[in-house]
Amino acid sequence: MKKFNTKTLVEASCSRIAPAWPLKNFVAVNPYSGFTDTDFSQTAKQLAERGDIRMAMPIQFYLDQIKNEVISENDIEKAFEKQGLFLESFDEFLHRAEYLAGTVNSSNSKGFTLTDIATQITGKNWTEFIVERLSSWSSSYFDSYVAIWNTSDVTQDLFKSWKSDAEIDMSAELMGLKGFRALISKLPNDPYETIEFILAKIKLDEEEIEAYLHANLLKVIGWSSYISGLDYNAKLYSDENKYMHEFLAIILACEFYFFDAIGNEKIKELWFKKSYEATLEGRTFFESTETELILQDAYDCARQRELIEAFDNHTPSEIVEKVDAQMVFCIDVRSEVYRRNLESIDHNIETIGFAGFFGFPIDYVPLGHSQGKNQCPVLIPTAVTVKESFSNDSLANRKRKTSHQIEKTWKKFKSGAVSSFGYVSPLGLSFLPKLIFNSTGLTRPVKDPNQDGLKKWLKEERTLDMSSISLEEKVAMATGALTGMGIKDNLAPLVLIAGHGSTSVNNPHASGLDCGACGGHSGEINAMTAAQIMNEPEVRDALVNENIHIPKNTLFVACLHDTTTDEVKIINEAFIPQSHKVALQNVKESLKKASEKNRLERSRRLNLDTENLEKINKKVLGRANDWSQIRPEWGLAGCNTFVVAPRSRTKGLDLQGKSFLQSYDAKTDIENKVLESIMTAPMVVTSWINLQYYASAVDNLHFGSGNKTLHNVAGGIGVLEGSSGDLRIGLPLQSVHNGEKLEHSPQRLNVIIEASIDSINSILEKNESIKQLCDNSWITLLKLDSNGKISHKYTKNCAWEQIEQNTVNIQKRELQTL
Amino acid sequence: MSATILGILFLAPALLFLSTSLNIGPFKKFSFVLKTIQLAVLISVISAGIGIYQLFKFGANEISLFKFQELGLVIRIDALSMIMFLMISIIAFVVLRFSKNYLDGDSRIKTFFSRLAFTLAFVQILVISGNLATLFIAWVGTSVGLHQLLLFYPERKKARLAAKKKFIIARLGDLILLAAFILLYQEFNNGNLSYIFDQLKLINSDNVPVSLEIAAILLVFSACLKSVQVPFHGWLLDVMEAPTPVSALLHAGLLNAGPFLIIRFAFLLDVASTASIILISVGAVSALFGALVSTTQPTIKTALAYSSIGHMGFTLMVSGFGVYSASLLHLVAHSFYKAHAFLSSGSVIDKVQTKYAAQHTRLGNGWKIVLGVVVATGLYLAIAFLWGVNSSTEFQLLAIGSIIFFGILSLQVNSIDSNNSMRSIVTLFIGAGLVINLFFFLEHIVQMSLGNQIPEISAPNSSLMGISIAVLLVFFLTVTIQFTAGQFRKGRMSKQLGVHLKNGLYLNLIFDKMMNSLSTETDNKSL
Repeated sequence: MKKFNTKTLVEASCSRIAPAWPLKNFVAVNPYSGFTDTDFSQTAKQLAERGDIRMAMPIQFYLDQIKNEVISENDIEKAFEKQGLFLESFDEFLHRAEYLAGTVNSSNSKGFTLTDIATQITGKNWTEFIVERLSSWSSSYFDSYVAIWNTSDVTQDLFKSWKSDAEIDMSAELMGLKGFRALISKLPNDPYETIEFILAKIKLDEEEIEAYLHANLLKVIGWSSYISGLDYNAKLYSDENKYMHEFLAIILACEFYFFDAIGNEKIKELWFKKSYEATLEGRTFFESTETELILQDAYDCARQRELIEAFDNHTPSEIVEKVDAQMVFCIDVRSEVYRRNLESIDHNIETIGFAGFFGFPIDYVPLGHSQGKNQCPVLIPTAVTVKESFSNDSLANRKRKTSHQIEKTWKKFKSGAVSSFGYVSPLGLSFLPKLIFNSTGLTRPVKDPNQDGLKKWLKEERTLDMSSISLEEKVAMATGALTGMGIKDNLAPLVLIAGHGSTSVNNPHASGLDCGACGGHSGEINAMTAAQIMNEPEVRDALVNENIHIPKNTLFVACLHDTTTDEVKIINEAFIPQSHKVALQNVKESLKKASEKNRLERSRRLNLDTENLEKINKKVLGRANDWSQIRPEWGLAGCNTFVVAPRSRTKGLDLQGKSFLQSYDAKTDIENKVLESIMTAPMVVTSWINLQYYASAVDNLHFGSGNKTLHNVAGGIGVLEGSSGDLRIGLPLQSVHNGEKLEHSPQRLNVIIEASIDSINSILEKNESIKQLCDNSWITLLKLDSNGKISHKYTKNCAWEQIEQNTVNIQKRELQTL
Repeated sequence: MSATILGILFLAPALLFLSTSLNIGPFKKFSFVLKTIQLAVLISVISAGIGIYQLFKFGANEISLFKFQELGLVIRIDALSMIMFLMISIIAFVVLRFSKNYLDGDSRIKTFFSRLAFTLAFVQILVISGNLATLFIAWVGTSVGLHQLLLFYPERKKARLAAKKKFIIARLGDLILLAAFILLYQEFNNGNLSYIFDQLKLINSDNVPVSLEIAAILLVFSACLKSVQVPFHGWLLDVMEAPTPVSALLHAGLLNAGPFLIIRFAFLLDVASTASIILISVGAVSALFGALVSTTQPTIKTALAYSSIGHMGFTLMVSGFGVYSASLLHLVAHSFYKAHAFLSSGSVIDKVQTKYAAQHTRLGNGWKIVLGVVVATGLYLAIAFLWGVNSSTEFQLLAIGSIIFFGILSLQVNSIDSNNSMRSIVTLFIGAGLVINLFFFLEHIVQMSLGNQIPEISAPNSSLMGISIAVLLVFFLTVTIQFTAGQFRKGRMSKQLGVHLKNGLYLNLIFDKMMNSLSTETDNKSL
């Protein structure tokens, strides 16, 4: 038998699994991120084959789009071209697509793993059973809150701990898998040895191994992704891979049972024969997949046309030179709506789009906490630590500590075996008022984690203790931020830094609505950090050496944009000096009006059925405090565009809350440094978000977390849908679907950049990973010309095609006459 | 108020609830269904109020609306039925209100509401039944309603499995209850509860007819089946396959049917001899099983489900002791507690967010553990003494009290033997004192309001005494092991016990296997 390096193959298959984050900081992630080196269509076929995963909508969805004249014949032609094919007859294609839409749509992936073969042969769903067992065990091992008595030994490595439990656990045998425990106990204790041992036994060719291992990981895609996330984070701080290969060893150990121990020779026979390929059903399935992919390309093309048109028809409004205030927002799509409304109300406020951590990658440690939160994009490690602080830290600290000690002890009383009976009898009735008050939205079931134990202190202002950050670090971060924001030379007297966060109650996925650039947390603390540092006189003095002159009368003010209620709150208003109070008051009035206008716009998207402002205010605010609300807001649903250009290009253009907006002026970016940082960081993050929504929309079963009404929080880290099954990753169905139709229409991200083609190409050539994103159709690059029109579209290998403005218009006219 | 009008007032919400299942005319529209249901809840609360007023003024009463051969539609107004009716109305209000936004956008929201309403109607009738016939029909009706709710997502294989398992258990329970009721009817030739209770009061406990002994045992079994006692609990663990409000309603409303049945027939249990022993045994085993397994579960809803099994067991066990007031108190308290726990189960993440604040760690200091035990014991004895609990006459109450004491014991040991600050320790000490007082106070209130509608606590016989002490010892041991856990958990034995417990001792899995749950034939079949 050929010798091969197991470790390399294991790592290769593990790297195909994208990371996923736990619920406490549920950051958007591209679930295909292990495939960016592969073409979109190629990936789709592989995932379909190995894991029955869909990467496009069912054909009927596109047929409807054709019927509604969203997709035109021309779009389909282009899509064929893109795949290197030629569309012979549109009608024939349509006909075939209609036929395929009616066929059963399931892959022939059944049979890729031994467990699957066993399922086929025995008529018992062993795959489901094994997934359930693995999920149940993993929930315990990774449990970070729920169980009081964790029955798994978490001090041991993953594989070893599993093995010692599996040698005791009688479930498999009672279900009919005789000798399961004996088989497990015979396996080596080392995960790599186990993998090697099993691979040798099942005699796979080297070329097949990676696919086989990958298919096994896909079987438990939820836990694989979560574990991949743990390894991802560890690697950021330069640790070794810790868990992934161990988990793979666990899956293989279960697989191995069905090879030998089950005592069914037929399984072995079929395994070696590999007779599961190319059934008729399978062929139809692949034709369907291919058709879907072409139609998806066409759909993207059609939507792009609308975007190009929108820019074409837009006349940029004039920019006021000297403004009273500048307001920096996160690039988040929800900022687009607010900025548009704010600008329409107050021309003297200039808005800027910048990644919502504002260039301050902090580790934020709340008072009394032993560990901090990483408040920065997940692509980078945190750099500095800031601590929550109050006027009397030790007292507030004691208060919070006491409240937690009491709570923890109380929890043991409440949930301990036997003691729980002594708890419920006398105290159960106290839940009656809680039920009533929670139902009416007057209270929330659990204290707001940000205020926890500190209600009294929060009446005072919260400040940040930055004593551990050196002046150099502060200056470096401030320089980066002001340069990136592009406002270092024209600072207004008031610069508001608006972080954003959401408010929802009883929502396991709440942090998914918070700021992704702040690592799935509210951006409040980052805004405060930014404002506090840039207001420091020492920092300002030192900034002069960097050629940044902050005017004496410029004041940075932190605020928080609540994306659920549309309120913008000024943080620590009491600290605003007298000199700026009047100016701030004016801004506040504009903000109030903008918030109301925003809520009006929101009410339409939420179908609130009323134009009465007061009612809208009440309803929108009510959603944020409603423990039964499954759609507190739409989050980033609909996101499809990332605009990297000066605000003047998009000012006044209604992008419907679907665009990320990054302020960027190529004229001041001589060496493309800023553009490079945008394309390597925010552009990647926005594509992650976009593909997260895309995947959750097209295949909620594998890359979405299913129905919210069935969610069952596992281990405090994720959810199961219902009573058992795999951990569910991605967005809940309710976050992408309004009950009738998809709220997020599945499109790949259009990145519109105003810069020269040479600049963009040079950056792509320098950074292979983002070039792959563009080359493999994960995102589409579009170039904005000096007139603010979209002029070029990236094709492949740094080549661009010109967009004929006329064709767009002609097509439009044609459509109208149809 | 005329009796008939009062009777109709109590039936009106149920009728309104049931009307929403009609799929005709205005009932085709969700908005109309919703309004009907809201009206029904409103009437429920009003009639509960009127009922309680009537009860205070005129005492327990039965209103007969329709009768044939002393079987028929009879409504009973007494403390038990009014407490239950009010509780169900509040739970209904909360669950329905919650469901409105929770199911928003679901194309079948109307179906969901009418199924909820259907179930609620029968739960309401069940608790105010004054006749064996009414009671039996309502008993079956709740289960039919629940079956429909479990299958709200019929495409889910696990939901179908849960419904199937529940169906078998429920029908078995129905048959047993029917047998019990037939025996009672034959004995008394009357289906009216008030008549039956009056007759039962006259029976000398030394000379109980065999048919009544059997009827009592059948009632106990029926209650155990309805209230998910081991080993008939499996289906409860799969109820999460239906939306959260179904779990809330089930755990706060439907599971109670078992203990309710026992308290309802307290006079029968009181004269029967073996039934109580069975009740205590099954209840105690389930209580311990549910409570222990619950602590090992890493998923929140599963942990809550096991906890419910434990609490139902506990409630039944307390009834077995003959302390029906304490049983009712626990039942009502648990309902509100569990409804809240399910509906707020998504909030657990908020707690995870503050996980790193001030870790609570145990010290494992022997002296401090002893101090904790001494403090808890002293506190408990002092308060029990102040409330005048007397060990000679009220052995059973004292037994229940000990369970409260075990809770306080674990609380104090966990508080004193830890890194808690003095301030926390003092607060928790005061809290413990309040909890004990609250228990005696509430127990007193419930006992007073039930008055002579339940049998007086009688002096325990030797077998009851023996089994009670055995149960208390086991509970005490469990608590002690828990708060001295540190050393214990490292052993091989505890490791094995842990793994087996986490799997619920495989009872549900064996049930699944019997149902051939893995069969791929049912994979894509929808009902």
